[in-house]
Amino acid sequence: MSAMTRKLIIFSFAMALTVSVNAQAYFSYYQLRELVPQTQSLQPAFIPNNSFTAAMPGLNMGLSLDSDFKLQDLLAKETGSIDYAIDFDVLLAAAQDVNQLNLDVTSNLFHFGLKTKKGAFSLFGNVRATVHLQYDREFMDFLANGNANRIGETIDFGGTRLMANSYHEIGLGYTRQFLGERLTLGGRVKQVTGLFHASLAEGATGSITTAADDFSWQIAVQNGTANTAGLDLFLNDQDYPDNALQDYLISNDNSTLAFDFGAKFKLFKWLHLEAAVNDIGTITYKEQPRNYNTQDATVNFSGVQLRGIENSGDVFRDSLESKFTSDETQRQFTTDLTMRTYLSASLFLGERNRFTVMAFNNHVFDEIDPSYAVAYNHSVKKFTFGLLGSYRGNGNELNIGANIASDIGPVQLYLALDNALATNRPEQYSKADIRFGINLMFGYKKWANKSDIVDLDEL
Amino acid sequence: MKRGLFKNFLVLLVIIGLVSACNLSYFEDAEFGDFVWDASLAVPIGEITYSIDELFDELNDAGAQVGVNNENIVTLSYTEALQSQTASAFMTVLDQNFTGNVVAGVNINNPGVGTTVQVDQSFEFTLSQRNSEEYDSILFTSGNFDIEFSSDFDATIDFTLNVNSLINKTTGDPLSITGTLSPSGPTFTSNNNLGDFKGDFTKDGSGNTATNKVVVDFTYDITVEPTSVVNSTDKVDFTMTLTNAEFETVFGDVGTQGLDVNFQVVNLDFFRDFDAGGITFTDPVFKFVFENGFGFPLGIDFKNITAIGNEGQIVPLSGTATAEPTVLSAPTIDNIGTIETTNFELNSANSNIADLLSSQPRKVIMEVNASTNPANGPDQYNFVDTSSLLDVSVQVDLPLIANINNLVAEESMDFNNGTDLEEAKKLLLRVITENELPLGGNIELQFQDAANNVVFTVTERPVFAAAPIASGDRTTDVATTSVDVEFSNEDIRAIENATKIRVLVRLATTDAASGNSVKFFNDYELKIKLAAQADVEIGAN
Repeated sequence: MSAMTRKLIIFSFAMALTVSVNAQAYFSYYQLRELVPQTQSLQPAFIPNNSFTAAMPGLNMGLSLDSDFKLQDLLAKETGSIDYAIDFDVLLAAAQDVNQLNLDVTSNLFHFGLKTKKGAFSLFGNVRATVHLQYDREFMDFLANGNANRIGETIDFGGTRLMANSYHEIGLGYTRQFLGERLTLGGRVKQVTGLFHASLAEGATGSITTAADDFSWQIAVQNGTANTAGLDLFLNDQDYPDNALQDYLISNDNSTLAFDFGAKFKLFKWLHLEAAVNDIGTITYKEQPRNYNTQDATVNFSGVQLRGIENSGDVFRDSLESKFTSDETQRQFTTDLTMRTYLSASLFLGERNRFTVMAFNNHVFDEIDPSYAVAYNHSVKKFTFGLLGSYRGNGNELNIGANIASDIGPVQLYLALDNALATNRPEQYSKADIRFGINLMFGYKKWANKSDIVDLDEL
Repeated sequence: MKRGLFKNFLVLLVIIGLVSACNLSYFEDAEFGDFVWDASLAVPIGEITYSIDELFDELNDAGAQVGVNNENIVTLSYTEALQSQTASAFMTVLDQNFTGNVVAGVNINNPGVGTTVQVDQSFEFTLSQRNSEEYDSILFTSGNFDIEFSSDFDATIDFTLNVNSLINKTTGDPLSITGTLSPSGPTFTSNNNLGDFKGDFTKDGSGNTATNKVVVDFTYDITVEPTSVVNSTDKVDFTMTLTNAEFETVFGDVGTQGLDVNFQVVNLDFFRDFDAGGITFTDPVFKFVFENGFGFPLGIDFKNITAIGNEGQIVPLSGTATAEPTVLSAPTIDNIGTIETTNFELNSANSNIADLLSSQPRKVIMEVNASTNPANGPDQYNFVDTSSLLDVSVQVDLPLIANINNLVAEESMDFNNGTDLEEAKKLLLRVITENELPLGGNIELQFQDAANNVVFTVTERPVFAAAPIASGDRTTDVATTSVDVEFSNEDIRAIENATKIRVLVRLATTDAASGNSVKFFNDYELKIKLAAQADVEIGAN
């Protein structure tokens, strides 16, 4: 490798860090790669280092909370108080033009991995929940200040979007090497069963215009549909038999197939390129769907007729509601899974040191708004550990992550944090991301090879 | 080996560092406090549209009916009913008696042979009545007409008494009593039910036309025995007693006398809310409707109609309408049982009622005096039927053609919304009026506590402006007014303790200072819009 090539690569890493990043990623977890078999959920092209893996049921968990405000903005404390309060003024002060809140909770129910001569098989099951909320500053301004400081203006809620999904997935994965060991392709097919869902329909918008003279409202609604699934089992549980919820969680009609694909290419011995696209698929909620629909309308509301009015609050609400045509239906609806894309390039400096720069996009609301990270991992005899840095743009703190995993077998412990600093006063951070677990690992020695990693210092 | 140990140590150090750096103090002992939404909302509360009749209905406390006249001008109407005494109370047939005797006129002393002597005589009595009443006939419904006879003859008397003025309703014959008196039975009594008879008092004893006359023919035969003695002064006495007479109809002439009519007080609640300032009505009318069932004309005197002003001042009715009695027509004897209706208006042309009502009276005493057969009335044969009655209804019409100049109206209303303000920290209340009425108003609100102490005052300010009148009678444009009333947190806290609101409204019609009156047409409307801008703290509970 020439000095020019090396400079070019380093320059590319530096440029990647200057780009605004956003969204949860499990960056640090990704760095555990072949060492932790469950990372196949991020990159199906990973081939475990051992022959057989059995995950400890329920002991592999992941949580990622990622927002544009710090935890102490959401759970604010007034001076002198120890109690939390949702303070929209604080959230407004922290708000950017467009704000995201992303939550991912994953529990690995089971994972069995079997490594073959050319690849690997896996059988896995997860329970997952994702929440994606997007709102703009105008929405938070309304929550914080109402409409009184926007008299004569229009407050547009069109930037508010919500997608919440929970489901379980059971699937098979297969990874295989090609071109010797230069190219590895992996794929997973999984049966996804939707459990609970809440979302605003695509294109759902609303606005309120407050007239300057008489404060009358002009309220516009387009595509005003909110879809839910499964929630009725909680909201109206008295309408269902005792075991209805249990039966629904185990099996229902909201099943479909989804796919994960990944590829890994060893461009050079010291430079590996990876790409993965996960959660390709949709869920059609046929069981327990509920649609709360409001027909497109632009209505003017000038208050109520005051003659003989009693229970003014009820009359006011009823009068306003009566201007809209709303209904509740039980039509099935289809929602995309939150597709995730990982791109990474790993630079190996010697056998035990790896630098990685990577990008991630979760494609929620069909948006391309990637986040980036640069990571360094070092492997020693029985475990690997790494540090990671990510920066998600203006208004977000620098995140320093860390990860560690053992390969001392048969018991493997691993832990990955995208923001390790969050352990110290986590309220000061806007991102909390953790994956941890325990696996039973067998057959390391069979696959132990001499290092193929090129030591750049020797070039 | 040493290098590997160092790396292991380094990793361990990082882990220890992460763990030891763990600081979760922010979350220690903390709980979620109550959710409070603290925002400033601009809210269109609503609107209310008053038609003009509704507006005055609010002022009126339902004491009057609000209608329109034939010019579509809103009119306040107060209606009261007056009633006369009944026919039986107005007219009474007095209890009375009529006495007479008939002497033998001959002396007979032991005639030797039996003989019979006939004696007869007619009598004419006059009915006793009140005042100058003259009755021609009475159709009795009950009563007693008792006749007692007594004889001092030493002989048998066979008599017949015919009361020609009492005609049996069934047979058409006069009342005739026959009987026998003897020395051993010298008295005889006859009891008669007056309800079987009608009285005809139109002939005197000579058959001439008369009134109030009761004519009786008395005849008897004296049976003289051969040894009997009859003196010329021997006589038969009779006494006719009329008691408890009730009638169905009386014909004749009731003369001139008063007919009692009860009086009524018309409470003009409309003025009750007004204090200072002036209101002048241009065309008020008192509409009287007289329904006369008596068979004689009546003269009505309005002199005793009186207005009692706000401060007790008395304003009597005057004018040409009070100069001489107003004559009410009456049904004729061909229309007994019918009602003769007479309408009469007191207005600005024939009385001073405009002044009377411009004194903003709290009440008007409606008292009319009625007299029979007034001198300026027609000469009409009279009757009184048992169903006869004089009903008087009076409608006070106040067409809202008025000049109102700084008239202050006052109204107190309960205020029990204090608790609703708990969540408000600051409030701006915007009142927008769109007024078609030629009437503007300033309003002051005084919030009072239970002890009537004023805890907060919204000072007087124009709330609705009078609509202009460019020409003609009607307003020519809508007057729009927007007024803001701001309440600070301290103000709201003070209002929370209020239990009632005293509303003071100062009213003035368009161009009131010129003295011109304006007309309030029925299609005028006053629309009031309320909007608020409030800093609120709304809790989850």
